[in-house]
Amino acid sequence: MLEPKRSAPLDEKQARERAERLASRYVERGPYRLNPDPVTVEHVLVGLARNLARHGRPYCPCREVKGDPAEDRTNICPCPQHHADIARDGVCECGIFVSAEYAAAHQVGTQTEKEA
Amino acid sequence: MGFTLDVGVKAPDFTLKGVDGKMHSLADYADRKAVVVIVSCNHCPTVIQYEDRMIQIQKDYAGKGVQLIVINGNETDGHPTDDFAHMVQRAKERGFDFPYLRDDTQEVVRAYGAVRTPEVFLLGPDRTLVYHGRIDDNPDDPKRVRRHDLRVALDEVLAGKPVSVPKTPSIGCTVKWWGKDPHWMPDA
Repeated sequence: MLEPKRSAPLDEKQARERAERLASRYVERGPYRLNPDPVTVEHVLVGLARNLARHGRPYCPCREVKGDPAEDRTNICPCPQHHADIARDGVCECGIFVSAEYAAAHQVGTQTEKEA
Repeated sequence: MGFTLDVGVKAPDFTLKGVDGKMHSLADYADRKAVVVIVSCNHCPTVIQYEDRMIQIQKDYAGKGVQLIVINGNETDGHPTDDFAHMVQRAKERGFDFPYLRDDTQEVVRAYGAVRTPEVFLLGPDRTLVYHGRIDDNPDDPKRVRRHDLRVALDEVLAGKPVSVPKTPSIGCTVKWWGKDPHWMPDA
């Protein structure tokens, strides 16, 4: 299989903008939401932007970039596993995308404090 | 009760081997006013970002009667750098000033119900859980932290006050469980 063309290296600002665009477009067009916890979303966006700047791809920040294109391809956000993760747990492994039900149940500042 | 230990519940004791070669139990620290159990690991990038902060918290609070205990229970087939030998190496390289314990059976990590690394369980004087969640609100830039959740909770516990925000979302990689897909998470 041909390896898809890699993006040109991005500077920090470009990488950040692309990571934000990736996440916002994905939730606009699909069934999932961004995690209602802004700290988690910000942390994942920082990691995605870092990987975009370093590697030219938005690799999931929770996983190691191995340097093997075939293996690493499975870790490009949104990763192939995120549908199963969200179906099972309500949230993807990195934590950026969640189901609508998860989002409703985990509103920061309401559910977390009530639970305690 | 869910997967994770509830605030207000007494934390289970444990005995685990540390990177110093000694066995460590929660009961060994009975004289401390508070114990911070952090479920952690070696490989997670978020953990690595927090290591200096964990060391500093132990430094800042040791004299106030606080003990950090850091536990790594990740499976090591898929994550070989989380094994005991690598833990010993990491603790030495980074100068960990707290016990770093290996939970190979994952019984302790399961008993506390950790989902991600690092995940904080702050135990008060009677060893009930008084705070659960993250260390602070900016894993990526310590200079831009707006809320030092763990430090705030520690200060409140040491002042004999209830913890004002007893629960925050934990941030980081998922705990890697033996026999489970790397993406598996419990329904917390």
